[in-house]
Amino acid sequence: MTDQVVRISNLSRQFGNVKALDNVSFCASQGKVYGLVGSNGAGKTTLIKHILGLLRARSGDVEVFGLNPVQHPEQVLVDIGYLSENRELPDWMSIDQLMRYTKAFYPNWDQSYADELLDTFGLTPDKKIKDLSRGMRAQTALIAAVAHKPKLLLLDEPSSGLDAIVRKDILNAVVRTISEEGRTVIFSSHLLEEVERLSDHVVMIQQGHIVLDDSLEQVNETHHLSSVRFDEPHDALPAMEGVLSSDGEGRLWTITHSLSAAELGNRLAPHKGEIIESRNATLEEIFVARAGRILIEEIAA
Amino acid sequence: MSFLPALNPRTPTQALLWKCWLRTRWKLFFHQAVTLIILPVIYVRYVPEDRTLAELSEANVTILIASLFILFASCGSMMYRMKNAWDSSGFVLDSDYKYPISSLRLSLVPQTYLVAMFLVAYTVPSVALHFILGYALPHWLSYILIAEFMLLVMMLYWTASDGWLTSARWVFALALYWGGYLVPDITRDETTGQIDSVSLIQLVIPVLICIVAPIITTRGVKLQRCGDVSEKAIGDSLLFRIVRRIQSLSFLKSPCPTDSPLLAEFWLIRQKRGLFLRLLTGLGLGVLIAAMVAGMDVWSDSPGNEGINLFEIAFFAGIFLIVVAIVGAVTSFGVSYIHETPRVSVFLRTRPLATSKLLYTRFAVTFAGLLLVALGMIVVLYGIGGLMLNAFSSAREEFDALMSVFLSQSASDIVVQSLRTLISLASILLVFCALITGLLLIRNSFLKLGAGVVVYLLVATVILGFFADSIEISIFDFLVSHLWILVVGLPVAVIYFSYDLLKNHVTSLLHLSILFVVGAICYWLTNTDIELDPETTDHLLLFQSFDLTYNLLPLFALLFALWTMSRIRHT
Repeated sequence: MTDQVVRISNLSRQFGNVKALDNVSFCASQGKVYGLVGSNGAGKTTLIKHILGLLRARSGDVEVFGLNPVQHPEQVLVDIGYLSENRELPDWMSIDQLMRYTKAFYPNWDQSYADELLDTFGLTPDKKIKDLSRGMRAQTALIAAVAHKPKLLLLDEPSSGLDAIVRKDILNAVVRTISEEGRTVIFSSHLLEEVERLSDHVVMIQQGHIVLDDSLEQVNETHHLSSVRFDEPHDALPAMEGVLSSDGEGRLWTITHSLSAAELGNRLAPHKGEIIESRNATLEEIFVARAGRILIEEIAA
Repeated sequence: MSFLPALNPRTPTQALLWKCWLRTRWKLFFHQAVTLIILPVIYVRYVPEDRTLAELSEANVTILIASLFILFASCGSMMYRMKNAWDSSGFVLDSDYKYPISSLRLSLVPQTYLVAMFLVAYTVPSVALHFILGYALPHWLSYILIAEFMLLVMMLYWTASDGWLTSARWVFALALYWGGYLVPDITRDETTGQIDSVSLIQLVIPVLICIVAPIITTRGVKLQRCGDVSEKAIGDSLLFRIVRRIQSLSFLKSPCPTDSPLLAEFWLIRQKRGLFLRLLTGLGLGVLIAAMVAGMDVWSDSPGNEGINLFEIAFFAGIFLIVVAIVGAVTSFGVSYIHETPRVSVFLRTRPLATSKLLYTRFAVTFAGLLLVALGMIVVLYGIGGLMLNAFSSAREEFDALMSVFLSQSASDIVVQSLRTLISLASILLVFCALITGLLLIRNSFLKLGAGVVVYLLVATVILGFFADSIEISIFDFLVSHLWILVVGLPVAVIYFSYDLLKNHVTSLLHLSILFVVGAICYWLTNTDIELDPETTDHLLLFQSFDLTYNLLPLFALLFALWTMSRIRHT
């Protein structure tokens, strides 16, 4: 497919005894915003590093714009903007020096856009990076990542450790970038409400596995949080397919599931249970349910 | 601050060159300023007139090469990564992996820049001194050797590999240098000092290295870029794994005392730089020194004729001790490198202990560790001299003679002299390391001025040291003419630091009084009591003043170290 910006198939990566990615397959299409969610050490950064070519695919394939990023770094990276989790910037440079330096690598660098963002964020070009606050560093790194209007923007925890105002600034800049026609964004975040607000598509990754890869709309439609009541008290919720997690005791239970109301009703019936209340689950509830499920499976294994 | 117009690099190559230039320009300018201004002044003012042009030219080349090593050390952040302290190798511009540039260009541009920079740094003062004083012009061979050294070192630093391979590469390179394979035999013209002839066959290896090293480096960069090689290779090497295993031995571990913060701090610093490990380090270094000195003896023109003398051993032991001392003492101030910046951890800065207690505890362990390193070296070298190698027996005899002179004194003299030596060593170490640490972390003009004076005196003394016959008189004249700096500087600094420590509540009046009492005891112990004959000494007053103030050194060291530690903690 021509509109596929990133294509990853059967990618695995192991660091020592730890499997960071296990047979991961994932595609990102042009013009969409992908939210990558997962707990610490789930494999999000490893996945992003493979897309950048900072890690070679030892098992499986990675293609970005139809090219292998390790073999063709010049052609691939010229259309990528990357904001790293640690905001690795040369402390000894001034903001202006960093902008000049970065500009030389990107023929499409839009100086007026960079100046506009500097102005919006209130950054002084002469200021040394080492003297910047954490928020200012993030803003500077973001400008360096987006001013060449990349076709693919990779943001690794763009708002981690930032206050609400800086976060808003960053997100506005991202929204502006993605509003340009046909640009793709892949961003990882712990802030699920942020992912919910920005993403078209959610990729949930847990212990090296992709456990959910769907459009946000679809995810919202298929995941529910329901309160159920049983005639008889239960020590544990009876096993039911489609139930991701449960919480409660005795007769009253709250369950997160990916079933329709009718399907859930049918599964509850043999256990003499009924639905009291049901609503769409939030992304955070889905994440907690799926992450917990993986954890339970790991412990059981 | 920049006196140059802001440049706009337009291509990735230009951008990389610009970045390298930004990172090194002040060091290069400083080097050029020192070599172009200070060298001619010192040569004209202090070098005896009876030296031949050949001698002067040869000494000048040596001095310029030595200055390149200083430039090399000052450009450290361009040469090696300081992300995880001293044990990480790998490509220094790794943060540029994310840019759209080929690994070939990413590797070759900084290599070319650094080689070119060092060649320029060598050429400009050489040519200037040729026109000013008539010294020999640089020879083409110098360029090959400088390029060879730079490319080889970059290859060693920038190509990370797994495990012991990195260490093996370093050892191999050092062995090649040590064996003389990387530097050809040179003969000089006796009248001009210019290189006369070179063994061309011996040039094969240097030229080969100039060609092969960049290729290996580029390959190494490519592998690191896609994560195929970890950058923390030295840290994972066999030697360090052994050291860590020793550190983790259960009998060396003791539980942290919980009833005293001072003892807990003492325990912490011992865990990090255990005394047993220091003794082992000394033993290991002793073996290394023995191997180096023996190797030097074997490779020399007349091996084993006169045996190895004590000076040769003391020279290498001294170098290793200085390195161990600097690393140990700087870290006793809690300094570490994170992301190429020297920092002190918040954990240390927020420790609920008085600054003085923190400093004394950490420095005491470091100093004790240093003494154990020295002891380990002496044990090995003395043992080798007696048992294993005949070449070492003469050094052992010299050592025995020295010890018998020392032990023939009365018991009280032995104790006083030992204390005097220990106090002097500790004071010098404390001053030196507080100065280095302070310069790394503190922006203070008083400190910079002091450091500038120290560097000036050191550089001038070392330079004068190159001119053999009349050196004693020249260095003596030079030092005497600058003695007033110490005479004035030490008391002024003691007053300044005392005032500053009291003003900032780092120390109490009681603690300061105790320091002065300790200082007075040290003053009495270390009193040099110079006996001067007024008829033969031109600088009687100066010497008498110096005699009075020099013994303030231990007090000055304590106050200076406290001041440095307090600045690190609170600013």
